[in-house]
Amino acid sequence: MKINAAIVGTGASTFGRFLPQSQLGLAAEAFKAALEDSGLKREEIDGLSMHMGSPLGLDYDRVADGLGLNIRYVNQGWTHGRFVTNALQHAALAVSAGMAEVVACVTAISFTRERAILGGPGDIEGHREEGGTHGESPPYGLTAPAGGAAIAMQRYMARYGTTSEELAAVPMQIRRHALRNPDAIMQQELTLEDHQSSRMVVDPLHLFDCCLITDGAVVTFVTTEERARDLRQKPVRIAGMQGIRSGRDEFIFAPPGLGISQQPESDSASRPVDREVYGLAGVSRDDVQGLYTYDAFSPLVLFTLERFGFCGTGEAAGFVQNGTIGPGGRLPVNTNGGLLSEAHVAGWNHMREITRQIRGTAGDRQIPGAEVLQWGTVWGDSIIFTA
Amino acid sequence: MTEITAKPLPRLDGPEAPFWAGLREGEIRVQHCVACGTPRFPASRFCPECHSDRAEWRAVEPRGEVESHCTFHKCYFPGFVGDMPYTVIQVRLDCGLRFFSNIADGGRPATGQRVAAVFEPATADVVLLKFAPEDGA
Repeated sequence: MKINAAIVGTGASTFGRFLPQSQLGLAAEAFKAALEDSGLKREEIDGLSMHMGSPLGLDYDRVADGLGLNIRYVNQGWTHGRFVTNALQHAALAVSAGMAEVVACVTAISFTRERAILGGPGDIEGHREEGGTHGESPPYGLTAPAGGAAIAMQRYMARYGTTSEELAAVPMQIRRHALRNPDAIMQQELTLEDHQSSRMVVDPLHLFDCCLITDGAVVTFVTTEERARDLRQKPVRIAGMQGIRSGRDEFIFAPPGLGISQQPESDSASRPVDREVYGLAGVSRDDVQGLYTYDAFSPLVLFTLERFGFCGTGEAAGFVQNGTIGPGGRLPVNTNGGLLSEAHVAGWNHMREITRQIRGTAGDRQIPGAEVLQWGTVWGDSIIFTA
Repeated sequence: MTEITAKPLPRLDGPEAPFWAGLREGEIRVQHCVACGTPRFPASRFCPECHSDRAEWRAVEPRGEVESHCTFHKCYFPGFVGDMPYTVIQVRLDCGLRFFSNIADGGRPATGQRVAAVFEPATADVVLLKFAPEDGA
């Protein structure tokens, strides 16, 4: 089946910490904004692809009921950030297959209300007997996603001699994007000194290597290219996609080959299987004008750059120096400010930014002539968006 | 109050039961494939190498090397508040399997440090697998 799908609407709630609204309240705010943006009517939304269910987010039946929708297609992912790509991919597949005309991808999360999920007593999945979903091993105090990212970064540092000062380029450059985004929560410049003097969260990760913990919602509408042509906005075409990778080679927060948990060790170099998305989209990696990734922790940006082969193995810390990934850089990364500096809406704030960039409405952040943008994660899935 | 301040404990009644029983008796027992001999952990129904469903729990050498580590300065789980900051290590046993653990007595190791298992009682029923620098290492 050929993918026939485009993003035709996007809307967001306010992003913030300890917002008074319920998840459903945030979803409604974002949903209304997406209707306004797209020109679609509520009655035309007949599919739902939910990223995060309860308790962090909302379950599909609650959304359909609460927003007054009549739905004939539903997908709901695991309550983990990693299912962001999957939720959008299922929306694209559903409209391509005619299972729905317009699928709303809805993500409404209250991290500040459910903090105990992040490595505390509320983290049910972290306590799974065979190990948590980010390598958690609670009896030994390895109880939070940051732990898995930190232990992977420490190994990467030992292998390649990378320093915390070099890693700092990631949050510093992403912050520079955020300064151009009025929706971003972080609005002050981040200097190397700020980064180095910030408290350790899980050594070697400083405070500013860790993403924001926020509340917010984003709604994204996906329909076919034919339907998209009749709508208000310039369509953002989903040109190609590759799925989440899984198996013994994979540890959620490490590139294959780094040797975290039971991963076999290798040189971690990008393999053809990591780069299928370009061929499927009919573009080459050199065509990509901006990269968007799940920057829950700054090392994940390095690992993603290497996984897709933007640089060689062990070279990403060098690659990100001198503004390469910042505003006006050779490969801008997360021009919205990402999870590190805009807000943590599980990557959907990045999807909203991709949409604005392809439309050419990103204001001060606009990548000139943006026609090919990539979403790709350290766990290996990806989507190429084109004009 | 006890519930909130206690450290998380493993469950002892699942597929990993023989591992926890082994620790109580001073051994690191993991599944070994009867067909091809490959050790594996965590427990699984089939051998990831040859897909045989025949496995037995046998002890492995309780020695290995510290491959990586991280140090928690933020207390995510209230039970660890008295240990802050504490270090988690990744140990690769000589048999090739890896475990997340701690240095017994709370030390902070160097990458590449040789270590030997320490069987550390946590409760009357639970013994945890921790490590200490190997003699002379």
